[in-house]
Amino acid sequence: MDVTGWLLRRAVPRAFVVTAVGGTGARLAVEAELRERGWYEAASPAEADMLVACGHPCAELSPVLDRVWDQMPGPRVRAAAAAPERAAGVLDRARAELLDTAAQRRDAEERDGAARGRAREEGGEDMPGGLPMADRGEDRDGLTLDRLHVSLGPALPAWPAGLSLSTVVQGDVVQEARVRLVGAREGGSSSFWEGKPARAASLDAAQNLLAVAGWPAAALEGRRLRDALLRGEDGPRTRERLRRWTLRVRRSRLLRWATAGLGEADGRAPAGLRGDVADRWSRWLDPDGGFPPYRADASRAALDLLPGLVIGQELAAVRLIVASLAPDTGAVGAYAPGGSA
Amino acid sequence: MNGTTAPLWAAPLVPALLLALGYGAAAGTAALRARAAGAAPSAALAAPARESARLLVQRRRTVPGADVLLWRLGGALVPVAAVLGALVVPLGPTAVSDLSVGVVWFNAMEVLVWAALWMLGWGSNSVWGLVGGYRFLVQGLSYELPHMFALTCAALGAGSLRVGDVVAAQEQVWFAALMPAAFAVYLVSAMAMAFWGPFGAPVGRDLAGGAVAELSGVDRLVLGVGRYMFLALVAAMAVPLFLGGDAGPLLPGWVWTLAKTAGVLGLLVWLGHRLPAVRMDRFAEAAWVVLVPVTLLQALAVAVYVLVR
Amino acid sequence: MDAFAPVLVLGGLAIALVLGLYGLSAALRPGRGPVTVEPFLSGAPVTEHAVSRYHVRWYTVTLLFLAFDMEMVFMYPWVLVVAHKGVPAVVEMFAFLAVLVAAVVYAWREGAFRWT
Repeated sequence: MDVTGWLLRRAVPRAFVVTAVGGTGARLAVEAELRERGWYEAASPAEADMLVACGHPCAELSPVLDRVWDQMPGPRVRAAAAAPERAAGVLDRARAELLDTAAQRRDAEERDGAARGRAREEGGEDMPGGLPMADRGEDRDGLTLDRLHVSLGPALPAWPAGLSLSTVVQGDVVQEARVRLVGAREGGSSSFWEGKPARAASLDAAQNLLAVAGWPAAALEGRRLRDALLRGEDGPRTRERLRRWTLRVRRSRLLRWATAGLGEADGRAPAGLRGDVADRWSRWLDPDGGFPPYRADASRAALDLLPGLVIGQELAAVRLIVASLAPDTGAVGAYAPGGSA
Repeated sequence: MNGTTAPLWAAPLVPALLLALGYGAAAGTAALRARAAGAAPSAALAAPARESARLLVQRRRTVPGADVLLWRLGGALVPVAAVLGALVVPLGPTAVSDLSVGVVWFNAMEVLVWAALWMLGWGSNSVWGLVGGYRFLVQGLSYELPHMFALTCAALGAGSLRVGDVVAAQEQVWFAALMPAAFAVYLVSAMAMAFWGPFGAPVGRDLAGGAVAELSGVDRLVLGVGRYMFLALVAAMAVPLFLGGDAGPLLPGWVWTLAKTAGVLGLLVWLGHRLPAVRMDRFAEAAWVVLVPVTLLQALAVAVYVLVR
Repeated sequence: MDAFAPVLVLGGLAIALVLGLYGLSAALRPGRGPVTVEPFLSGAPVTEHAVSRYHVRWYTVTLLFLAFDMEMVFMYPWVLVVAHKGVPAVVEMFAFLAVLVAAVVYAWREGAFRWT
């Protein structure tokens, strides 16, 4: 009896989702499918068995996907959901491939063979992996400390599509930060949220922030409400659920405590970005509209603000600040950091 | 009669019960998650078993330059510490060994998690692991003192470090009622030491899994199982310390122990579902400036009570 | 020391549980040895080892913790004699704790608990 195959069939898949710029629609469809099937989203490739690319990966994102694919342990399967309507079929096929025990065994053997080949070629190395140790540099207090180069995004869960924040950290404090967009398109690009219910856009930003703030249950329910609004469900039951969820999040003292005073943007910033992280997410949950964080100019301003706000912050705060700025990378078109173009 | 020591053949019951309670906590978490997602909660009963199946057949992975020994020991240490900590937790009137220093023993085993998470984080040679491991250290520095003062309050009320004596001292009134602040602080620190719910930042999603970011397959399974066993342990220890142990009408003592443990565990699972993560740089200040003085005043009140009793 | 003999039994059981899981997995998973991969860095190439001298900005808290942790060494045995020794034991212990709490207040005012 094939116990491995039997166990594989019992397993609930865990997908690592990477979104390309302009892939928001596909991402929403994949997220809704995962949620309705009771599948999970992986936080890192190590725990994932499914790599799902949403939208059309550009030439620059493809090597990123390849690298993430190499980091997955296996059994593993790679799927591409280019368009929202294909999400269900793509996930079905991926699951079927995942259950092909013979193919998975072949994949494992091929990888081991390739690894043995590499080991013979390289022979003895000075450092494991051929990598140097961290270098030292001055920190803000004038101490000379080890510094690490940490890239946040583009392949990171609960992170704006295509955003790459290259940082230099000492301890967990960001000393330098550079913003870049992977796969930003020249010319006419438009936000996915154009013409969609503004509440849904706010809910998407809010669920993302809740996931980063370590409240997965509220984030999941936020997604569920977002999907309901996008499907045009606006009945009394949805509205009641939305009201109760909004109340619970707004009243959370812990969430306010964790987000207040972070990433303060002054009066020169667009109105929707002003204040600290807590101010920004509170506005999204304001029943009287709030500011849908998807306009091209606001998103561009958010990207320009970003490095200044995250330098000197620790990684937890950086994640919250980015989630609260919620730049819609699909709306900004080709982006050059610091420029107005 | 309290504080008896079980025959050795009963020892396998300890890991078995911790596993069963931990499984229940995992299934409860899955059920709450399914409800939030709008899916049927009925599938949640099998969810932990399915995830275990997935991790059993998943390949293990390693990273160039990783300190593999440190890394694997860190993961294995969590379930081992949970089982060893349960040495002094009585089921009904009987513990595997009712040590004269039972409270200190529990304290010592629980602190092993500090080492475990740091080893996991450092050993994996990954930025996420490094930051996650250190996050747990500062978490430990914040919750550990209030936790130890809460334990001291219970021991002080009984005038003994023997868990059986602590239970016996609650014959008239449970310590949860006599020293509510100590009980509340114990529950907070229980979540913190199991890096559970609001204290999950060391393994948080914002760090791609933090200390466990590079774990896969059975390595991740061992840590996951250990973490739920640990959560079950800290819930079980609340019962003899604050909830009168096996005291209860009609039913046999061991039923009461299990029922109370399940109640505390359910509360911890529900809190983990309802609360967002606490940022450690803010919690550290609150722990030192609020929780430490509160538990000390509680200890003073208990000391006065012991003198006038 | 007889009371500690079950420690060996329980420790053995726990280790057997862990080893059992490892053995079961080794028998079932495709590819017995671990696969060696680059650590995850959001899909960017890794340019250096992550293990490094970590900037522990909350080191002052560790010193304060050490002071209190040593105090716990006294407090655990102290609980055994409170009822026996009476008021002097309580007064002495809480006078000692008050000194330590004064240190906490001082450290707080100096901003030791705020490092961001």
